[in-house]
Amino acid sequence: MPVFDPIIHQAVRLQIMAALTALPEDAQIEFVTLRKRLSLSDGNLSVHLRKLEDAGYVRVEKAFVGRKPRTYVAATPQGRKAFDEHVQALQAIIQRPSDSDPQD
Amino acid sequence: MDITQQEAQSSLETIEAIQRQTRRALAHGGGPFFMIIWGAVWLVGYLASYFLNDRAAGTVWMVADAAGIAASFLTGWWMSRQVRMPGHDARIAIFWLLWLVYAALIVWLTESYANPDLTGVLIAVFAMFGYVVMGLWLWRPLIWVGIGVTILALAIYLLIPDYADLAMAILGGGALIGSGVYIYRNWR
Repeated sequence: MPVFDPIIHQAVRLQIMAALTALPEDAQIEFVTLRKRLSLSDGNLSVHLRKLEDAGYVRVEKAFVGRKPRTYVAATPQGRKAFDEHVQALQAIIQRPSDSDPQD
Repeated sequence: MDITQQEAQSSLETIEAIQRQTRRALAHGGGPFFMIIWGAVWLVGYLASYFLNDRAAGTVWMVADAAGIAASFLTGWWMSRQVRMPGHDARIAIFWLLWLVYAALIVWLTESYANPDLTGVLIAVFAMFGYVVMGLWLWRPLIWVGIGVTILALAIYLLIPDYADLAMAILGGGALIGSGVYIYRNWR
């Protein structure tokens, strides 16, 4: 049975996980690129990344490119699995016979 | 948590839109951009081979190849700044450097013995071998583009050798540019 995930369902975190899971499994997106793609502020993205990182859904790594520090973000296998299950849970809600019995 | 069907539908639509935009912009190492760049190089180079004398065409090819390498380097650098793939980045760069060395060896070895058309087809086929390898490593559709253009190049060389350069410019270069643009626009 697919699991609805309240951590992922929050609007910003849903966007973050959607973007991260669109990339190949071993790919890491640069923080500023992710921020621009999702039209978020530094602080907003950082806060939500921390929640996802605490849940084990994303991995944040710092690296130097030349002399400049850069932060890279990737979905973990656990995060990809949780996201897939969350999408399945959303699809299951849509396929329900009626909307009169919301899911708990 | 109570979720209505409308909210679920809206969330799924958001996910689909973001994933499509992300793949289009960032994923798969910018495959379509490289296809468009090298399709343009083929178009210019093979048109020069068809319409100009060997010396002038050779110069055009050198300039076009240098521009293609520079554009590819910039595109690769730009892509790797936004999305890095630690397991792939160095391996891909080394592969294409080695590819250039082997391509130069093919040209050097064949220019004395083979006709220029054969050398052109060899390089085209060898380039498509590179696409197939990238397809195996990075992104499956590149395999089919590589195999398709290889078959096209061989058919042109065997069936219409007198117009091989013109056909390679329009069909080979056109196929790469067209595939790149099509994949970019329809990426999901």
